[in-house]
Amino acid sequence: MIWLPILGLVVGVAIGLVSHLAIPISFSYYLSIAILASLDTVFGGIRASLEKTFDGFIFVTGFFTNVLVAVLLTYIGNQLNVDLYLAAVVAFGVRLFQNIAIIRRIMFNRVSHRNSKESSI
Amino acid sequence: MEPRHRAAIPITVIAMLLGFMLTVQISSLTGKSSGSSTQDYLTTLTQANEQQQENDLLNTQIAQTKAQLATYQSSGDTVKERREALLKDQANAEAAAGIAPMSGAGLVITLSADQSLPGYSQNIKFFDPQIVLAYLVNLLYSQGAAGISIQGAAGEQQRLVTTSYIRDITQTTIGGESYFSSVEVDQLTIPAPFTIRAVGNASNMQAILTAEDFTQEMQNFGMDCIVTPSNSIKLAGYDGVMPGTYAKEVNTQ
Repeated sequence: MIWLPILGLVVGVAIGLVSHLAIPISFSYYLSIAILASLDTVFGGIRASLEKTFDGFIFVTGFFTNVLVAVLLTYIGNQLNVDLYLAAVVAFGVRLFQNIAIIRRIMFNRVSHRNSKESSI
Repeated sequence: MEPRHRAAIPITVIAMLLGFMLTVQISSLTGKSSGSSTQDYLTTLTQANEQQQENDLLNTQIAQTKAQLATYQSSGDTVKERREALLKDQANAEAAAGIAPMSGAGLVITLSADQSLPGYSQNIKFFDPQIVLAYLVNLLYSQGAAGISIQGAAGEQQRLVTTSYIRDITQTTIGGESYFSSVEVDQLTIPAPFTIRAVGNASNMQAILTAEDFTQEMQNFGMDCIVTPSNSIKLAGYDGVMPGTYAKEVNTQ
């Protein structure tokens, strides 16, 4: 079922291209942080799915909460002239790499497990 | 439903949102960072700077005009008094600019080639009236000359204004020696011998000529220089087209 999220990604890109939507330059900063939060959520979801602990409600609420908090943090940072968005960037960045590492390990384990099964047959 | 399959739909939806946001972000940034937007920014910045400069200039002009108005208002209590003060200012400005006639005490300086002078045969070819007259005029102005005119052999006379120029134009050969004998002062040809009249403090102007040893220097060139103080020098006003060509902003539309 890995093709379904990829298909979703492709459909999202297509909608973005067709809609010709452009945001003001002052808002692109917030969208960047929101994209980072989305990436973190997606990889978190893939990891949970592979670990068989996925919960759709937690996933969806986690996505919106992460995006909103990250954008809010950035906005407050702009108002206070403090780079608070860095907190979100570091937190999401670290978690993103952790999730990717865990997904990679799980995939390797599965592949090696499958290979050892085939060789025993 | 298996957990993996249950996860597929929310992840797909979020991935779709992610794809959409990524596309919007990239297309927005690509559009904004194109050359035209940079050009727009620079154009706007230049326009803002120009407007700022214009604003500063206008503020300066307003301040000057206010000061002028204050001077005018303080020049008299009645309109008649103020008008008289303005007319007096106008006369002073015209005299300073060289366009009004002027009379008063000052110096009369004549410069004429004299073959009997010892320096004539060797140095007359080095005499350059353009340089000498400009030098002389600057010396006289430095000592407060209020008005100066240069007169030629046939009585041609040109009053100097602030943008006047003096140029060599004609060479004369006497006894095998060529030297510049005519100058052009503001489009008027003035042939030697030259008579320079200067209205101002005669003693100060004479003192600078003595200090610079001007008469002796001229004699070394073979030019006789006679400096005569006078109490009644009359200078005509400059009546030609104001000399001076300068760059002007043109409207190309």
